[in-house]
Amino acid sequence: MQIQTDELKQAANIYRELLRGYHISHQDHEWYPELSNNQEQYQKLFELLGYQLVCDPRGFYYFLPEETSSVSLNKTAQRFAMIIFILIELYADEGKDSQFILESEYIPRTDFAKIIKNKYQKLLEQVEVFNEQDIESKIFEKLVKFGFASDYMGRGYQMRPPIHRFFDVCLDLHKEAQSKLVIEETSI
Amino acid sequence: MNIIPQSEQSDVSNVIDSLLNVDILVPVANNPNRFEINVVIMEFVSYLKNEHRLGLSEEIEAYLKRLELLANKIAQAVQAGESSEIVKSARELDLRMREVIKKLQHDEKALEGIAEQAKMANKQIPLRQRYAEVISSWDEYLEPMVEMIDLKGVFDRTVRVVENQLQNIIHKMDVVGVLIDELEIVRQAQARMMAMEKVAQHTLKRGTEILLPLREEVRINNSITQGASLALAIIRKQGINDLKVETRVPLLAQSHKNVVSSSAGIEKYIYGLHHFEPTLNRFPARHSDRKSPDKVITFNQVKRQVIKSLPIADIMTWLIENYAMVSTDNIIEWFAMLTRGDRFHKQRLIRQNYFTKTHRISLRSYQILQKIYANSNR
Repeated sequence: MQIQTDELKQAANIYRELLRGYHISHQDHEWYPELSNNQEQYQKLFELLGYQLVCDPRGFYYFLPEETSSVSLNKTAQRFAMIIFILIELYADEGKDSQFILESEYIPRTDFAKIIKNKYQKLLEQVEVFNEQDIESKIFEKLVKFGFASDYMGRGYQMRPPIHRFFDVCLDLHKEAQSKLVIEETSI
Repeated sequence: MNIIPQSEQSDVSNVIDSLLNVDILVPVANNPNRFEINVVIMEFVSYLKNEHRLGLSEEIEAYLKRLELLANKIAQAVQAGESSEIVKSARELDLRMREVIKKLQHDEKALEGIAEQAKMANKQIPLRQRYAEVISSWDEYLEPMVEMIDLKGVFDRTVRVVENQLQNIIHKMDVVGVLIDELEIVRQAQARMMAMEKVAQHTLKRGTEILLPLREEVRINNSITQGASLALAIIRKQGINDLKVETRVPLLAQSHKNVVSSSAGIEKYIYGLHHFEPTLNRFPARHSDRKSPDKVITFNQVKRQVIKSLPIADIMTWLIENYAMVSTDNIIEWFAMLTRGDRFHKQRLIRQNYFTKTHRISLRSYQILQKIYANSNR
């Protein structure tokens, strides 16, 4: 397959963004249309450069780090996962459709206090998040940086499609728990 | 509904009397001075307003029993040469089948209405609550209907029995020689039965198309909520490191190894180099019997191997055969990761027992056909 470089006008910018761990989704009007229209070309191009471009059918793109080349982002991933799990449970406990809120609504800053004052304080301490400011600076601003969220008119944050990567973790955990139920120990 | 104008008492009584006379109003069972609108009228109004209430699958089952009974009656009447009984039973058979068709069409409309209402409901309330009627319609109507209409189900069996009966009856009628009208009525019933079977299959297909995506949405939504609670429970008990988030959601960060960082960083590095003092560390003694640690196999490696080996007849068997030395936990985890979502075109297999070195696993595996390449225009 030949790569038609004429059509890849945003290649440098797209490469730069993906390389810093950013997830490109449809809200990124500059890059998303070009990326989705030339998906195979971009996949090939990045493959030549040693990167695996993941094209998630739910509408987002990102580079999958190879074990050998990636810089560990333990803490960041842990903080992201922690806040998503907490928000899902918090909204569900409030009798709301948490998945809908995370996918289509926005998370107001006023909810940060609710998270800290609620039963989640101890959990957040595990990832060195101690107050509302930490939730903002250590989690939500980073979520924006990685393309998982965007600022919502200065009132809070709106999640973006890549958030499904964390929903997948929940689905996996649920499935693993279900699978464990059907495993029966035998003495073979 | 205000159907009585503000007028004199006698006028009101006259209106009520006239409505009672034409059966639009009927007295309430235990109170002759109170009235309600006749159920038939209510049903007609619902029909005009395009309101459809979902019936019960048991109703169809009751109809099926009646159909079988009527077919037997026709056969007996043919045997006894009772032409009036043939006509009467064949007409009733035809009528009952028309009723089944009407009911199935009505149920299809009702299912559409249920789905529409669920989609339009307030999205602030939990999905399970919003889709409660969808779930109950699936569990109490569609699933029993699938069982009933499925091959070897009651519906299929009854249709085949009645079909054979009618075929035999027509054959006998041809041999014995009956009036052309009688034969025509039985033939009409036979044609109606084929139509009924077609409508039933259509209703079932349509109902599944309508409800399945919504039911799936509920299932995923529930799984996500339960999965999040499960994750928090693990974090509470064992700490977040146990969850291995970084392997589940690997994030890429630009490597800075070739980039000159800030001058403060360089100063720190030079300072560290200047003050470097080597410490003596002895190499551990070599033990000839020590095994080298098992090579860690990552999910990405497994995935790549799967893609190379496509199509795979049974992914669980494939995993067990190809990774015989890997723990059952890992096999299950990879199975879950490979088969969830839209990674591959796959087909569900029947439940089977699979044996690893240490466990027996009972589950429904998949046949993996090909990789799905994302269409991000969606």
